[in-house]
Amino acid sequence: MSEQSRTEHRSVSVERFLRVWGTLIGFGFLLLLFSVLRPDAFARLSNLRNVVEQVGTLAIASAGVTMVMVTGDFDLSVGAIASLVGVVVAKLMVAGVGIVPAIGIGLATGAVFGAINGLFVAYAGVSPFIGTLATMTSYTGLSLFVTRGTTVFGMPEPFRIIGQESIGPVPVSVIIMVVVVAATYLLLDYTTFGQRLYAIGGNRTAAFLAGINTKKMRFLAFVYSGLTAALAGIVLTSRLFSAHPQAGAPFMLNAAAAVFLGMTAFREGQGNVFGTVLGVFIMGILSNGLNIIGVNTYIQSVLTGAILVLAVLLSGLAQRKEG
Amino acid sequence: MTRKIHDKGGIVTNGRTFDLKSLSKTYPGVQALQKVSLSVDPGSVHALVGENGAGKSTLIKCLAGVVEPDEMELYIGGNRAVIRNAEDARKMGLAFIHQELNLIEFFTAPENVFLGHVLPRKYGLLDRKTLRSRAKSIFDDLGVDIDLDEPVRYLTPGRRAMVAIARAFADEASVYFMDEPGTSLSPDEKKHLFSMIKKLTEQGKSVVYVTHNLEDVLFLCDEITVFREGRRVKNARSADITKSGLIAAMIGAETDQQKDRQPQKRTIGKEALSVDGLTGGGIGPVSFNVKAGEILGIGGLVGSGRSTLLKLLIGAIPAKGGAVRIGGIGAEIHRSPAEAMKAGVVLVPEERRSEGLALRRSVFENTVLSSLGRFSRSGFLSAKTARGEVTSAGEDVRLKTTSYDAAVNKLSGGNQQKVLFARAVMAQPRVLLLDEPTKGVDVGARLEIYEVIRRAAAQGVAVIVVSSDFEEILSLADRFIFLRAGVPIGTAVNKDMNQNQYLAMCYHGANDE
Repeated sequence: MSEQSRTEHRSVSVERFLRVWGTLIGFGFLLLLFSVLRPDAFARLSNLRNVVEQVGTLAIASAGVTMVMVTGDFDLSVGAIASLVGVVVAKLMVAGVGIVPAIGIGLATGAVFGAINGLFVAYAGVSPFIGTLATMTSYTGLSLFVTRGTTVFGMPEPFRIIGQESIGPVPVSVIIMVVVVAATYLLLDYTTFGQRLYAIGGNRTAAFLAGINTKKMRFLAFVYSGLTAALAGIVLTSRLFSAHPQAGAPFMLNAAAAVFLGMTAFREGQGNVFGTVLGVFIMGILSNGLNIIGVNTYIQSVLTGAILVLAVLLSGLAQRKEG
Repeated sequence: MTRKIHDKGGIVTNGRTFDLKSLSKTYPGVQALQKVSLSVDPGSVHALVGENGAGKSTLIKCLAGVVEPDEMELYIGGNRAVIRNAEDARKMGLAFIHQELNLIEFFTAPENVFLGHVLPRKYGLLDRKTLRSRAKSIFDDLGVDIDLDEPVRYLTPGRRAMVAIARAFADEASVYFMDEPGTSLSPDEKKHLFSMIKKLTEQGKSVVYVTHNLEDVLFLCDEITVFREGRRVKNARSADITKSGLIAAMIGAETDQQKDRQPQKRTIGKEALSVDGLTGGGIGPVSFNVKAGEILGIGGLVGSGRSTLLKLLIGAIPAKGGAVRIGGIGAEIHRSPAEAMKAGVVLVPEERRSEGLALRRSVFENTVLSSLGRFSRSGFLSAKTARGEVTSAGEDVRLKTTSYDAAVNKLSGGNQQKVLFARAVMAQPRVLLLDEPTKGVDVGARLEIYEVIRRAAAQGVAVIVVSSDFEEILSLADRFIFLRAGVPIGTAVNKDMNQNQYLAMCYHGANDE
């Protein structure tokens, strides 16, 4: 390598350092800011634990969405799947089905609805945005139909364990979150499957020419997303101890926002599950911290949107080159 | 999959005959391949040549399982072979280096090399260490020192090509198909590729080598098959044929009139572009000037900053300092290609598919792209006028297309390049920047493109050319500046300069202007 290209290399490295770690540094800055502003209320262990519990379900759902977005697809239906599965599981338990079988059926339901997304998008060639927008609408309709638009109550007490109890100091829901995130990380970064998903997202033609079954891989990513959405719906239902036909609705945009925020961290512009978790926590901390310092809820939404754009701009993901 | 089996006498017995008896493929309106045959002996290098549109790439795509042929009768090692997809082709022992590199930009070299392979695992999880060391041994075999931990998008074009080549070598195949593998390689990298090919043939494997570089063909290959308009028109041992014989076979009867004319006298006018101390994108300071009607060649090796200089000139890469003056007026640096174009500076980029063309859009739309402003009548496209000019620009560059409404990716590489030239000419440039103007373009279209370039210069356009094809740049340029590591190291007037003198300037510079 020549002298010239070596020096060029070095200046690129500084830029890349910021691109890879900038979002994490921003997150640290947020933590510091709220801690300084309200050390009494914000920087307490009980409050931070509270944040983690609040964002746990979003993190679970976002993990699956990360997998879909790694391939360059998109999934708008996770919120609808989470709501529907919550309703199904609650109804089953109210009707006397055991907790474990009900959860099993719920997870299977999520996988099937994810598979339907995958069929439309990967095999039938519907654009992911339109395809999952359509299924989201239908899945939401199904939840409303099943519940006649009402909230389901009266589940057996032990079902509370999932969303409300702790093992030692650690909430069960947080353990589930950690397991899902770890599993997704292993799948994406340490399996052939994950390698193929990244390849498809990087250059679909190249992946196809290399003999990768791109349709099947994209299909499987949607199934996984359906599965994690179902799990998020179950945890949420347990936490609220009721199932509302639209309880999962906020996941739809928040999960996508978390994955986008996550793309600005660690892996330079690609979906990655730790980035997604960071994105989830940025949104959680922001909402919690702004609440504590007394910012109006509506203004919070404005700020969340602004921060999303800011992160993308600062991370250099914006395509300045082609201006 | 065949494996290397050495018997006790050290004779390699893994070679398998490749015998394509017949292959036909029709696209709407075009018979791309008409019952062509190709038979390759084990342990030989077989060149496949022909103009763009002759059907070479279609043949490779059919064999790779990417395009479905109308009819294909293929025997490998004496057995009938059916190829329905990329997986099948690999199982049959066929490996491919496609013309488009098809790399995953943010994957590292090892990840790209083993794309689609069964990857090494440890405890059921991906074993990156083993992956890396396997890739390293392939690159060591290729004699290439490459960064294995960087995403490939940070590698030079030559290194990227080596990654695509290494990918084919990672397949334990019996026949290797290489579609223009040498285009972005430095002379050194090419040497490594050739010695690797030699090693393959010593193991009894065979290589089908597709290229427009006839010197490479005669140097490297044992046997040559020529395609023209979807038909096999010639097959010969390379010892029995000359370069001019090959060209004659490739372009048929047109040989004489298509001969590259010596650069005619042109009147050199006033200074059209002057560059003073330009820096940015890791190169510079660079100073030089070009006059109207002059063709300036930028000499240098791969990685010397030639393409970067062109991109600086049109503002695609931000300049850090210096001045660019056009037509003797104003001293400014262009901040965007749009600004540069307004001032009359137009670039024909190197990577026509990724940087040049909207592939699925029509020939018309692609050609008119840079001149849309001229055809705007209060915001509406004045289609009739535009169509007229596009058609005449297309005729100027001798574009061959069934229709100007056809998607541009249906054209051959040479015709795609002509679309870019038609676009550039339509933009009415004062300064025309050309980056590898005939990369992957066949002989016939290449001569036509040279004509277009010379005609533009004769009409008073200042032309700046970057080309890794020595013969090309020596036949086009009136004058050179040479770059090394991003700085000018010399200038020269092209007075019957030969390739050795040129190469010596690329390495050592000097000044005899």
